[in-house]
Amino acid sequence: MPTSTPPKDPRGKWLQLTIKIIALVSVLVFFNQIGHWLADQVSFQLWPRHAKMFFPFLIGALATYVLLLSIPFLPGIEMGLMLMSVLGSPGIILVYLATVLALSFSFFFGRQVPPRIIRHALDWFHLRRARELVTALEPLGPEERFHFLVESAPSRMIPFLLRHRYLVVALLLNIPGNALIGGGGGVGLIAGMSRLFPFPRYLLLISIATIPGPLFFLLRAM
Amino acid sequence: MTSWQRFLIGILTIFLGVGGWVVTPSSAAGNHPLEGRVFVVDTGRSGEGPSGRDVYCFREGKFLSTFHNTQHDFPPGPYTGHRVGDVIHFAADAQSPTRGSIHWEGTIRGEIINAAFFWRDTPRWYSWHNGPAKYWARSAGWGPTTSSGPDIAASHLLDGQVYFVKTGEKGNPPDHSDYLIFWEGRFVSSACVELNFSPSAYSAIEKDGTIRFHAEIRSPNRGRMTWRGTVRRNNTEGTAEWHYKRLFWEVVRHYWFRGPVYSME
Repeated sequence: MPTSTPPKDPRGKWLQLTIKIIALVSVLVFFNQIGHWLADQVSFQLWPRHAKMFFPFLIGALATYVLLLSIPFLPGIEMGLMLMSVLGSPGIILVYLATVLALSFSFFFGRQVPPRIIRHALDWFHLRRARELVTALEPLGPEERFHFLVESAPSRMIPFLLRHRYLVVALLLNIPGNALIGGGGGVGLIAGMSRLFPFPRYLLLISIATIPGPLFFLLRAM
Repeated sequence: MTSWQRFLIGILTIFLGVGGWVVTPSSAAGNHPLEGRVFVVDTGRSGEGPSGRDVYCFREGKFLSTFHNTQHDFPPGPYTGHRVGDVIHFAADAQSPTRGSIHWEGTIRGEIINAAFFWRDTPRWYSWHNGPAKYWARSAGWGPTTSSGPDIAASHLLDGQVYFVKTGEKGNPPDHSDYLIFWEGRFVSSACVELNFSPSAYSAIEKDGTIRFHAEIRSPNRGRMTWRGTVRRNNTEGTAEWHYKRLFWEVVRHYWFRGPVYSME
């Protein structure tokens, strides 16, 4: 006797997806608010009475900044701006170095994420084609990945972006709307997960790409 | 009147005159020997070492502890004093709406003050000790009377003036209140005194009804602060700059201050 699975209700599928997206956005908003709260705590008036706690504060604030910036969707930039305003010119250089460190952390974290977890995450959001792409990319090396992506890309735009991927990452790190893809931490994470960037080149890239912001503040402070 | 009677009246007059000089009871008289005087003191719990610094002012018949005023809301309170030889004995009381009452008593010999104060805090349900806590206060010294900065020529133009200012970091709202006191050629910021900044000489020049002043105060462990301001029509305003160097780092912060001359009323 032939058996057949009942057809899934498309409305239920969409409802499920909507609930998942709302849950994810709620979690992100919650952590974002925590980040904003932390940034507000850093933004206090610095007086001689704070002299003894200055260096512990400096180390703690920089560590928090590195953590916030390296995790996607957390407001690391706000914290960086607060730190630069509190610490003055020498702080701008320190924040720049901390930014490079944070983006390196997110890159390494992206490298370490097993493709299995990425597949599960894409599956959870019903992004089946993206899951199939990750599955196909998994056994390939960096060069093969690049060629596979260029050849299988549905539009002409993607191969162009892939060929100029270093420029794309540099632009993404500096455009204001990058919060939509998780900010600097998100860009670093995706770059790491893509396995299309050797770390020395990525380090050079972020070292140059993150200069404009601190340079602007440095010139303004002079 | 016989010569004996005249002699007795003379003796009595001399006795009363000398007695009047030796023991001069007073309560907040305008020409009281303590009136207008300012003392920087170390303070601490009775039987313990110093734990803080404070500035004591005797003005307009009232006594002000700047620390207890700014930190614990104690307004200036009346003081009394009497002179015995070269020592002035004084007593003062202040009442805070939230932190109970404090009674000060002590002696002043020349520039040296030696006092005790008894603080009876407002009873709280979680406090097991409701009796008055005893503290001591002793002169901490006035720091250098000579110039403290490269372009600071000591002045006495603002001596005796006390300003109650609001102060904050440049571009920010006020952070706290501070008393700026000018006394015998020296400048005192009460908030800085609490942080171990020594009072220091100030320079001042007057032009067109405006007095410009400049002072630099230093702390052994919190760097230096440079104060520049103007005084016009019983108001002062200006800027302060904090320099704090530690290892490879120098913190430089800019502040503003603004406020009227202080009245004890």
